[in-house]
Amino acid sequence: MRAALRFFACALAASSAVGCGDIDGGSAQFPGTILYQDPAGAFEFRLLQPPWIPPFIYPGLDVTFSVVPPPDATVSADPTVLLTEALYSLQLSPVTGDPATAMAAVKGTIPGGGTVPVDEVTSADGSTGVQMAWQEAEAMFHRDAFMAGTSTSTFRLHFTAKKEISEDEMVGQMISSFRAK
Amino acid sequence: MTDVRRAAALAALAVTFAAAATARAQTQPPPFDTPAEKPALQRQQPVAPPPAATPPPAAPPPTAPRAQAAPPPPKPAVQPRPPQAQPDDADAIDDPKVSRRLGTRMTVPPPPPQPPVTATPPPARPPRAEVAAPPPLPPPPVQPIPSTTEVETGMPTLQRPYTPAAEHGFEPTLPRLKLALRRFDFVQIGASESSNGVAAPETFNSISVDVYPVSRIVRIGLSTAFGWQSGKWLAEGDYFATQSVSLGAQYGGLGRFVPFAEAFTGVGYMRRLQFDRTIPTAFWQFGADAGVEVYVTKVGFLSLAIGYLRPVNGFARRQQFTTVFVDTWSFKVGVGI
Repeated sequence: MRAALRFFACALAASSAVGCGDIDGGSAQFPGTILYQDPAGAFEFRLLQPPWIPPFIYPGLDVTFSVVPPPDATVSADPTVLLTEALYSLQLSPVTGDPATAMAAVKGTIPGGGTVPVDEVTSADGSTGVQMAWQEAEAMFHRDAFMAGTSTSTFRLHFTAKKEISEDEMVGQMISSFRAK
Repeated sequence: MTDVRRAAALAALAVTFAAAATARAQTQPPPFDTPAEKPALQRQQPVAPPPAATPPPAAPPPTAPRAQAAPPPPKPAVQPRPPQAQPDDADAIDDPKVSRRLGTRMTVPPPPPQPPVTATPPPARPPRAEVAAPPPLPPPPVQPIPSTTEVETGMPTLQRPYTPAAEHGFEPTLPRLKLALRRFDFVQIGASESSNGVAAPETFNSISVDVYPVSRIVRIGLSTAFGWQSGKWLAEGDYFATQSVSLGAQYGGLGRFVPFAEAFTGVGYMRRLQFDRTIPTAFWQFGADAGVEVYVTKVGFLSLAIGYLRPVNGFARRQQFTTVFVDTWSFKVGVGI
């Protein structure tokens, strides 16, 4: 009995030393995520890092990339290779017009885009927009959100994955955390 | 005249029947079970039994003419046999050869009569009425058997009312081992269902084996648990494994119900599946349960408990260790011995 009491005391002490937790997951916004801010200050959003790699801007393209690489990913600086192998990818870029207009322009380029449903979306900070999801190939799914703040540019968040993501809550959390400045 | 003839005829017929019966009695042997008539002298002289070790010489069967002609030889000096083994002349075998081979028939006396069970004689039966089918009589009331001391001394025996021994209350064997299922809510890190950014809830079920090496009024337990995300297969969801220790109190004086309260803490591993990638994280918890063990047998019980739980999930966020916790309720059911 004495040994058990000692073990209990040690376990309690060890747990107390580690802590009772930093972030209250029941009330905090986007707990456990990293806030990414555009170097130019145009936008910000939150993501889990890992498994997402830190977003980067490829030279010559006004697109911010981030991917979830597979465990056996090829080490490459070529964004095409990264996007091809990625389990999930995000390409974030500014577009012209308001969110609905920008989405209509993209929708016209999608085969069968006329039947793709469109939903309205609102982010946590009040940015509004629209989103749609479609399947391009057997293992290629897309989900696009067009977001704009008050008197801000419109940004396109283009997600691609190897599985259905139209109802994915983790993708939805990244959209909800987006804020255009 | 006619009457005289009839009387004469009847007399003649009666004489004829009487003569025929007498002749038949003289010519037929006596019945088998009827002892043969023998002279009184032979009956009064019992035949000496054969000695146990050496049978007596073959003696001719005692017949009436020989008995009268030559008296039996003197008895040899042998030990007398018990009285119940004394043969009867009626049981003697007539054939000498058979008598030598088989000896003398012995008659085993019946056992002595048992003493009467009750001292009080049974009540005299009323004369039976001649009815076709009398109903069976109810069994007579059982009479107490008077003790010999009471009968001998004539002193009455003290009688006390019968009071059955008080039954012992149900004394359960306090818990030693329990298999339990706990359900609680946590949050899915990095996921949100709403635009306000609150993390999506994530329900876990965990199955645990609880061992109580100390189980008295104070009980100390060790719990090994495995939990999984409710509604998801292991390959598609999160899961964890923990080892916990608990300290509590219980009260076993309420029969089949043993209320208890205990606090526990434990540490373990949690696998987070985020964007199809396995993210190893740390997991620990604090909690307190209050419930009751309901014993269905002396060593088997059902357990119901409700408690407070604070699960904590620690993981690396970029290069910083971050912990996320929630305060939640948990429900636990189990079976144990």
